[in-house]
Amino acid sequence: MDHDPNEPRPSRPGAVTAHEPGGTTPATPGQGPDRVDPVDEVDEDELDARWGFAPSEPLVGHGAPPVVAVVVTRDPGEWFEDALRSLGEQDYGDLSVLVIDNGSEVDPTPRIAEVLPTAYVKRLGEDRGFSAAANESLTAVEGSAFHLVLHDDVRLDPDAVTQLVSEAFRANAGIVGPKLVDWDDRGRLVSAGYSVDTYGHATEVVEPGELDQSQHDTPREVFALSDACLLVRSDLFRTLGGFSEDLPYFGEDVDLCWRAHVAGATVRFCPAAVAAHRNRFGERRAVEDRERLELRHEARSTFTNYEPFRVLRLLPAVVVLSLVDLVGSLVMGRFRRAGDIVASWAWNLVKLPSLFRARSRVKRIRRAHDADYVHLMRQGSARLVSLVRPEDGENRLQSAAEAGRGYLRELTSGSQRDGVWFALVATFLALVGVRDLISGPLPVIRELFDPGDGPGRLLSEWWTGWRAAGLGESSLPPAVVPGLGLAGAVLGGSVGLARRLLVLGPLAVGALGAWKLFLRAGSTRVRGAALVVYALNPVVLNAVAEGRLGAIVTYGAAPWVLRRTARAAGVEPFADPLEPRPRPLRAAAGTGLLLFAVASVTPLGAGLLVAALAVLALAPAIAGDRPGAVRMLGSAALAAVCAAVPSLPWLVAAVGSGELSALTGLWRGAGAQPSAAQLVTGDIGPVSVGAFGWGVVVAAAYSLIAGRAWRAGWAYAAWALALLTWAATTALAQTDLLAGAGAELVLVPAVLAMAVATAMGAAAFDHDVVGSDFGAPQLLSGVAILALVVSLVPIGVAAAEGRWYQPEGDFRRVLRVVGEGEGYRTVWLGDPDLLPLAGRPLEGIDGLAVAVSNGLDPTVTERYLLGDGEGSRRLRSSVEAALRGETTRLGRLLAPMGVRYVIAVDRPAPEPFARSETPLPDGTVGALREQLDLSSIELNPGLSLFEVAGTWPLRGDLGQVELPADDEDPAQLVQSPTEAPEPLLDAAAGVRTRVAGRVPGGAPLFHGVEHDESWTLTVDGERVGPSPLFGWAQRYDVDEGGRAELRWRTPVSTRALQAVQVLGLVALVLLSRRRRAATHVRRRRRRAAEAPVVVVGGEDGTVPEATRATVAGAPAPGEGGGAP
Amino acid sequence: MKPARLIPITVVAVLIAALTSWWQGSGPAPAEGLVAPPLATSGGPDVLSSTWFCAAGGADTPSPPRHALLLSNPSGDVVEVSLTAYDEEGVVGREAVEVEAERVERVEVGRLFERDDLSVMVESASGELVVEHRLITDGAVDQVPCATSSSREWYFPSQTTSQVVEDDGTISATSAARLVLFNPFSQDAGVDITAAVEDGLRAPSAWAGVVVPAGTVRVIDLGEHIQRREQASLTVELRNGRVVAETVQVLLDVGEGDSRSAAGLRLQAGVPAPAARWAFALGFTGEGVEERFVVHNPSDEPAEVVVQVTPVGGAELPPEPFELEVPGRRFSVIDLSEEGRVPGYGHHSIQVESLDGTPVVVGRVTRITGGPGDADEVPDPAPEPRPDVEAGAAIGTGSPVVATRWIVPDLVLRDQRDPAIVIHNPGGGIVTVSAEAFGGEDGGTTRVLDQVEVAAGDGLVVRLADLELGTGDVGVVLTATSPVLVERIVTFPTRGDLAMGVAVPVRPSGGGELTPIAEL
Repeated sequence: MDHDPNEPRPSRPGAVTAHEPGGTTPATPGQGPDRVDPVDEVDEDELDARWGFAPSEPLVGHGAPPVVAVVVTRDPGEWFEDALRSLGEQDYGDLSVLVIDNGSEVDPTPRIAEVLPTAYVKRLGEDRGFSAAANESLTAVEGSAFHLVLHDDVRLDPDAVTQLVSEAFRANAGIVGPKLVDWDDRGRLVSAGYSVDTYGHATEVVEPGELDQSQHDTPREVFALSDACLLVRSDLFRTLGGFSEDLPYFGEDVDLCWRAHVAGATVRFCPAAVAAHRNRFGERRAVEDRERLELRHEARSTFTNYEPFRVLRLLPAVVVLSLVDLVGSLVMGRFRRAGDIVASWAWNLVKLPSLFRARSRVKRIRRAHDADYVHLMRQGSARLVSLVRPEDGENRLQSAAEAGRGYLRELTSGSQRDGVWFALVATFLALVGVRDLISGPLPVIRELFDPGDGPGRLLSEWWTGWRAAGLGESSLPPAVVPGLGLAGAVLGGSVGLARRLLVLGPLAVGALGAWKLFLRAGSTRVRGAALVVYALNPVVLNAVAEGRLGAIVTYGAAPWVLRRTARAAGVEPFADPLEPRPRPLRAAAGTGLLLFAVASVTPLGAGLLVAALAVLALAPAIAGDRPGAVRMLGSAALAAVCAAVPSLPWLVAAVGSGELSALTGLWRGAGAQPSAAQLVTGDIGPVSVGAFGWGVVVAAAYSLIAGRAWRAGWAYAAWALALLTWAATTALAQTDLLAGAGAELVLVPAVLAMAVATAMGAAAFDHDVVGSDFGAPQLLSGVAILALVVSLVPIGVAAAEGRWYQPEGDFRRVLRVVGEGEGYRTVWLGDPDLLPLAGRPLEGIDGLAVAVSNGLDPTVTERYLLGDGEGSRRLRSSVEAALRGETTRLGRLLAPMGVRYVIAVDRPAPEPFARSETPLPDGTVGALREQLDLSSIELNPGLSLFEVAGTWPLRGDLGQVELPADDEDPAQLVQSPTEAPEPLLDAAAGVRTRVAGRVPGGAPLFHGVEHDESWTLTVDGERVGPSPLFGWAQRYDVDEGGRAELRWRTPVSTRALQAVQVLGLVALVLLSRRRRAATHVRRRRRRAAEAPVVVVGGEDGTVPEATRATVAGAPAPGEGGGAP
Repeated sequence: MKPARLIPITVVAVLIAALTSWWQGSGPAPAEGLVAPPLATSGGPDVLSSTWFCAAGGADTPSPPRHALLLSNPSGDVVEVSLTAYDEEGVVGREAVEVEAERVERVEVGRLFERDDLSVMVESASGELVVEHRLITDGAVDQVPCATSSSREWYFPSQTTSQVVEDDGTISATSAARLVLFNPFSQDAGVDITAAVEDGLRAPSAWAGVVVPAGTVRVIDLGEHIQRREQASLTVELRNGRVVAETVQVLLDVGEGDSRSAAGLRLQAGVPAPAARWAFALGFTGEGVEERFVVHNPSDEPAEVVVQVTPVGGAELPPEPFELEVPGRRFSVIDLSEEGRVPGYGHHSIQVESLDGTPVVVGRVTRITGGPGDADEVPDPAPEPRPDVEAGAAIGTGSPVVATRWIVPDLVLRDQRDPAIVIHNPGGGIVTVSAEAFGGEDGGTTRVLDQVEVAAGDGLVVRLADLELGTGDVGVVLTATSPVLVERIVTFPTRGDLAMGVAVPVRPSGGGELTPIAEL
């Protein structure tokens, strides 16, 4: 039953009449129960209120309005009795207690009965969240004037209820809250109301740990109060519908107060009432997703409680602020917060229907405009300020200040200054070195693929399971393809921006990972050493220069994967062995997600990281923590399994096709191979370090001499990893197997190892050298620092260039003058290390691969070649024949494949951008020039371009085409030139999985993709299946013309793989999430079925005898109230 | 510090040192594998198709020579052949002919396209088809396999534009030479021509940047800029595009008006690349025979060259080799018919090797000015005598490669002609050779050689006139157990001329390469 809060309530037997609209109080402080309504003292009360003097006398006696204290508890600690006892000691005359047990594992009723036998207990079978639990009072209590909502860790002063009720009457307040002080130290304030900004973000008015010096002892109107102890007028509480159950924890109190303002009520802070709050939520349950809950609840309250016009006005600002917050969090390495922001938006978008319903409810209760209460809100955004707060999320403002002060202390601390300087230098050089890549051109070279013209195509490739790679193939693309599409869609369709983030993001992420890798070591020197070696390692800088995306992505993930795995294993220095470890599956799922992200771009990279973890697991074993080593191995293995699940489609397809390079990205090439010395120093590309590169090796070697305990363990393991990596890379270089992904990818574990070893040297200096007698380690530490500094010299010089020598131009730039469009294909020839797309090696011609792109621009999916269909084989054999001089009519063989251009390249980028060259085998270009049906187009010294005469459209009318008698015999194609068919079905649009148009009757339709039965042509509703043409393409024999649709139908097996991938990914995301603070189950209240006055029992409906009591003014259970 | 702590760092240092000393890196892998063969080759049955470029269709003869194409089909299937004729304006016409299985089809260009002086491109879906072309004029004839690939460089080691001055001072003969540049491809070609003569290098401005438009032929009279030169070595380099190049040299009798006639015709396919080692299976000496070798060094560095002559049947005791110094961009000439070390009777094979590896181009110029000598001078045991013709001129450029399978496209068996095949085994072991002739008037195949052994370094002369193969145009397919070199000689007694040159090797199946002689 709802009431207008300004309407007087009727008196009930044994109950105190509610206050009058005029704001007069029914009792005066200091008066006895019989001294109700002392009208002649009104002036004095008003005076007291004006000057902020709180009434000190208890409000007792017959006229006291009934108050029900609603204590929400769940698995309370030993303090619970104190809290209950304080209720029992209240001097207020009409106070009943209802304890709502929110799904405790142990029934608290005996404890309650022992301390407060008059209290009622209502047990809930499960944790429904604080809001839902507190709302139980709406149905369990009737007839009370006030609800006093309490946490179970609040201890009230004896007069607290009296003061709150008095303040409620005195100020005509709908909600009143006390001054919350620390449970253990009453001299420290916990809460004096919230300061809420325009965007619903709440912060405590008091600073954490602030001493109570009466500075907050003035009663005042506030925007919101903590629901740790909250007196709310019962009619108002019912009008508002209680707490919003969509907000189970964190923010539900702000939302309640906000809606009270909307309903025209006031919210008052009453400092005369004092309650001690233990406030250790984090000790009682996992609160890792507190920030996420706060974020989404802030947004929910904002969009629910404002008037529509204000919502519209605020929405753009909220979006911008969120983006700023998101980017800022990413830049600062606070990925958890970034995830929280995204999750918050996702949650609110998913809950839109619920939000609209909530707005509807708010509309019904609205009695005040926003303008009436916004003056209580703080202007600006507190969230932006909170960007600098530490991860624990508690005490954010002070923590931010503390962090800043701590950082400054570190800067000025002599013992850590070198580490700080290293970090600053590394950051500065990294930013300077990459400055032109942030805004300048990002070329399509090697693995830096072209993302295409929009996210739709990328997503479609995944959804349809038909890829345009080669002459078309039925397979799911690697996850990077739909991933890039999704990112492009989120970024407003800008796949270019998504690509840039994909290329440059890992550089920052990897550097941050190195910085945070040894966070628990507590030494800036250690962290600085790891950062400078990792962020400025020439291997990764050359990966940028050479366009090795696989290496870049693997580099970005490597330190995070190590950190997570080591923390999950609980090994030093990544974790405190005495602290509880995260659940293995949850940790592995998170690491698995990281590995999956790497595997999306380069499965080999993910495999290398897992192998690196296996080697690094030696570290705890060497340090004497064998269980830790086993746990680390297990964690790595579990993470690998987790990553394999969503990667399954590509793994299955690659293994099924037998195409090992689809997994490794490595091919046999003919380019120059670096020496072992170059591999060790990272001098493997344009960012040349020469002998300076040995500096890092020398610095890293220091840890072998100086380290003890876990420092030595990690140093030895890191060196073992480095040596194994170098040996493996050298072996691959000897066998010319480094083309494609390049040495950079294979060397990433060594880069990580060098960073770890160098950091261990710094740690050893801190732990093992500083305090020991003067000797060789002290002397050698200087050598190590000097070597590290020396190694930075060539990097500093290279940084001045601004883009780590990455070419500014690419083949697209040159080819743009030739043509655009997609209604044709292009054959690329060259060393597989140079091609901007995946090629297949030509048989017997070392260092030459052939690849096919749709149009002239290779796109991301063409970087991942899988199937080797008959068409692909014929294309290769045709090219081989031409290069060997076995035909001079290559064009006739390629034309039906839709090939319009043949491009031979001998460098990764055209002149003048290329810095290296891998010559084509002698005679390659000559053989192409000798082809009688290829026309040479002179463009650039870096590439030889030929145009094929008589290119066929991808879909055409074979009606007027005279096909050779044996259309599968290539020799007949060579001998008998065949006219190109007329284009049909939007052939200029290129390869599509669904096209429509009119087709003539009686003429076969040509379709220039690899033959696959999943293609169907429907003409006026009649389905026509494909038959092979030329041994690889397809033809559809159409009897009668009409409206036709050519369509690819995704096979069931592909759908199954998609399901596995999506479900696996979702499962990993869910598993990796921090444990929810509450399981919120919406429950429909059964108001009508419940008794009008309290009563409460166990879950089974029984009422413990010891806990029966009567709420003031209400019949006792069994006496007419009706227990449930 | 405990000494034990030095152990790990020592181990690491040693391992790094071992690793860095183990692998020093490598430069780009040699870009090999697609170099066009240095002479016309056949792809064999596995090949998708074949294209032959027959460049020279005319000569500076008093009357235009007849131009004939000899299409040899050793396969068991009928082969469809497409012929496209070109002149300086472009494509003149296209025709298709069929060549029956195991036949040699002679196609008269003049009959097919109404003109003889045309360059012809022959295309076929059969990789086994072999094409030779022949120029025939009143007193001279020569034939050479057409080219199967183009090149960016062409070399012609021996050209002459001289007059022949008799002892009495009269001019008895003169010669003319023309260079034919055939560009059937889609890109215009720009050509630079230089000629090394006795006293230096000639690079006339008119020969710089000669444009050969796509799909045309360009004929250049060499005598315009290198007049009265007994010996000139020609280099054709392309600035862009591709061409096929041949030269036609004609020795003319100095007569008046209609009495002028050709005394010899030398048709030479260009050599696409120099090499450090060359072999000639066929050479002969005897009365009335003049045999000279011209070694052209197109590089800038001097070359030390040895010329080893090995008489057929005398491989065990070959004469001392001849040594030549060839300056850069110059040539050197050795006249074997003037050298006493070379037996004065019979056949021999010749190998030319650049000792320091400097690639060179070698030309063999043979001229017959009289009939064979008296039988009294025949040594015992008697080797194969030289061809029984009284006049003729021929030029050959040998081969830097050998093969196990060869096709001799055309050997004419009629009118007392005396065609022969010469097999040279430049390797170190005995080679067993078999051969089968196909074609002729009756068609079909006939075993010519059956498991005949050729000793290491030795040669074998097979005279087809002795084998009762009938008459007509006959081709021969020859197989050997190890790589050999095969040349053929065709005589034209009635016209007083002969043709000598390397047969057509068959590339190994599966994209394999021919074996360089240097690797034997």
